[in-house]
Amino acid sequence: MFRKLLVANRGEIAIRVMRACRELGIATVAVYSDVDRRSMHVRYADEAYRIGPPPAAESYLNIARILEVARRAGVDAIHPGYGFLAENADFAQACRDAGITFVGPSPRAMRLLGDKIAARRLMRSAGIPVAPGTDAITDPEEAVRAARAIGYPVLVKAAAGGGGRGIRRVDSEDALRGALAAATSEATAGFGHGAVYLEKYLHPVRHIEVQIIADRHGNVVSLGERECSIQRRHQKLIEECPSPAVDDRLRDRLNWAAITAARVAEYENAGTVEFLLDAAGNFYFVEMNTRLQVEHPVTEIVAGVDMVAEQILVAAGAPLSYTQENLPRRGWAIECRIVAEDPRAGFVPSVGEVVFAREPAGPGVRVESALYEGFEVSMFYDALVAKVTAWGRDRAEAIRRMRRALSEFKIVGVETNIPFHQKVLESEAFQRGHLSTHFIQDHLDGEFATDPADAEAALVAAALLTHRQGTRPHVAPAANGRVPAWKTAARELALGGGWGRMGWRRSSR
Amino acid sequence: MAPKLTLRLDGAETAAEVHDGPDGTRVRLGDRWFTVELEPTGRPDLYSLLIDGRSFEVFARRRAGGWDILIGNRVFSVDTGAARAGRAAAPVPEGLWVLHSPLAGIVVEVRVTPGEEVCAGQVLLVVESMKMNNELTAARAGRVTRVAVRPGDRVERGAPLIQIE
Repeated sequence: MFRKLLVANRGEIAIRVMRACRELGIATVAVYSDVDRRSMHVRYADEAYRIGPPPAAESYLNIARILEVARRAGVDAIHPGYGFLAENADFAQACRDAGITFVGPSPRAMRLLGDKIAARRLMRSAGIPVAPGTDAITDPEEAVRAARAIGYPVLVKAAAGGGGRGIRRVDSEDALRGALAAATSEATAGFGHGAVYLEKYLHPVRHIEVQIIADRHGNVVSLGERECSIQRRHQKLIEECPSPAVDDRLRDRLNWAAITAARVAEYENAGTVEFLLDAAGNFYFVEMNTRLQVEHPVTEIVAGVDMVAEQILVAAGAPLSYTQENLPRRGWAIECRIVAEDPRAGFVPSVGEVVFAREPAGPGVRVESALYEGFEVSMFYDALVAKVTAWGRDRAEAIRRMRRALSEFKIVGVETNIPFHQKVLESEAFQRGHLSTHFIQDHLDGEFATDPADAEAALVAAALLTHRQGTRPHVAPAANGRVPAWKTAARELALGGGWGRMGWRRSSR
Repeated sequence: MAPKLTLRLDGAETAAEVHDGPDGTRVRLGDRWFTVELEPTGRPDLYSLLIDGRSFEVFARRRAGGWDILIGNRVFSVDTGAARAGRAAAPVPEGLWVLHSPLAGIVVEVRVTPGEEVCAGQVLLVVESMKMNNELTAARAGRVTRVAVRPGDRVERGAPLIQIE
C-alpha cells in the first residue's frame, strides 16, 4: 500500500480524495497555486506545496512542477481528480517514468479512448452499438456524401474532444463545409489534434452512463448507470442513480456493453462509459471517460461503496473488494452541482468573496465542498463550488430531500445556480422522470419566483437595521428594567462594528 | 416616533417606519404593522428575525445606499434613503424604454394610456404584490407607445408592461 499520495487538483475533489487517503492511513500532499494558499484542500492535507501562479497552465497543468514536488515530498502515488491532468496520458506516462503510481488507467488505454474515432471503431468491432457516423473526415466531399446518408442534423465532433467540448451541430449541407473547416482549426488549436468526424444528431435522447471499475487481475465490475440528462450547454448539472428510464432488462444490456468496453480497451481502474438512449430504448456508445467523474457520489451512495478508496487499492495492485453478484443497490440518489453563476442574469459567472456560507446537512444529505467564509471564487478555475447529493428510498424521497437540502444552502457573496436547481426539482416533468438533454429548453423559462414572505422579511430587516443604525443600537429593557451587559456588547458589536469590509458583489438583477 | 423610511426593492417602493415601544418593536410596511424582533446571533451580520412569530434567519450587510439581505436562498438588495434623485440623474439611453415588472404580482391600476406624454419619475401603474401596492415609475420622459397589461392581469417578474418612446 502507498505511504504518501499527492493530489494533483484543488477544491472539493482534492478534499474528497484526501478523505479516502486518511481512512486508508495514507499521508496526503496538496499542491496549490498562489490564489489557493488559504483554500480548504491545503488546510486538510498533511503537507502542501506551492506549484505556481494562478493560471492553470502554470500551476495545476504544469506536469514538470507537480512531479518535482512529488519527488521532493517522496510520494509513491498521484491521484489526478477530475479535470486538469486527469485524462492526460502524457502525465500518466511521466508519473510512471518517475516511478510514481498514477491512480487511473494506463497511458495506453487513455490514449486509445481519448481518440474518439479510435474508440468508436473499437467499440463497434466489439459489437457495442455506436451512434451512426463516420471515421476521420479527410475530404469535405466525402463528408457531404456521408452526411446525406446519415441525415441532418449531424454533429461535427473533434476526435480529441470530450466532456461536451469540441462539438458543433450542423443542420444543412450549406453549413457543413464551413463547420468542418472551423471545427478542424478549433480542434487543432484547442486539443493539438485536428481530426474531426461526423455523428448523427440524435433527438430527443437521454444521457446515460455506466460506471465501471477494473483491477489488474481481470475483474471488471459495473457499479450501475447514472442519468445525466439535465445539462446546460453540454455541461451536466443534475445527475441521478439509477435512471428512471432504465429497467432491469436494459440495465443488463448497458452493463454488458460497459464491461465489454472496459475489457476490449484492457482498461484498469475506474472509468465511465457514456451512452445516448433514444425514446425507443436504443442506446449508442458515445465515449469513455478515463477518470473519476464529478458525479461519482450518486453511484457510491446507491452501491454503498467508496470509489476513490477502491481506485487507490486497485492502483496498488489489490483485487476488487466486490464482485458483480455481491453489489447491493439501495434506493435512489440525486446530485446537484452548485455553480457560481447567476441564473437571474443569463447564468453569467459570478466571481467574488464568499462572506457567508452554510451548507445543508441532515438525513440522507451529503455535501462535497471546499467552501469557507473568505473563499474567493476565482475567474481562473471551474465555477463549481459544491455538490449536494440526496439519498432516498425511492426517487420521490430523494427529490424531497434534495429540495429540503437546497433550501438550507446559504451562500452570500457570489450568486449560485441554486434557484435553477430548485426550479428543475419542482417541475412536474422532472418529478415524473421525463428527462432529455433538451429538458432545460423544453421545460424551463427564464423566470425565478421569489417568495413574497421572504421579500417582506427583507424589507422589515432593512427598516430595522436602518433605524438602529440611524439612532443608537436599541436595546429593549429587560423585565427588571436592566439590560444584561453581554447583550448590549453583542449588539454594539453586531450593529456598530463589522461594516468595514464592504465591496462584496451586489446582486445584479 | 421614528422618521419615515422609503425602501426600494426590485424597483418597487415601500413606505416604512419603525416604532420602539414598551411592548417591543413594531414596523410598518405600507399600511400594515408587524410586531418584530431582530436578535443578533453572535456571528457578525447574522440575525434571527421574528415577524409576528414567523421566523427568518437574516444575513445582512450594509452597502452604499442600502442593504444586501439574505433571506432563504436569495440576497435581496434593498435601497434606503433618497435614491430617486440619483436614479433620475443617471444617463438614460436614447430610443425605446420598456418598463419590465420588477416583481410578480397583480396589476391593480394603470394610470397611463397609449399616446400620453409622461415625465421621468411619474407613476405609470400599480402592481400588488405581497399584499402591498407597488407604484412603478417611468425611468425617463417620453410618449407611451404601448400598454401591455390591464387591471386584474397577473404579471411575472421581468414581464414587459409599458413601452415609452
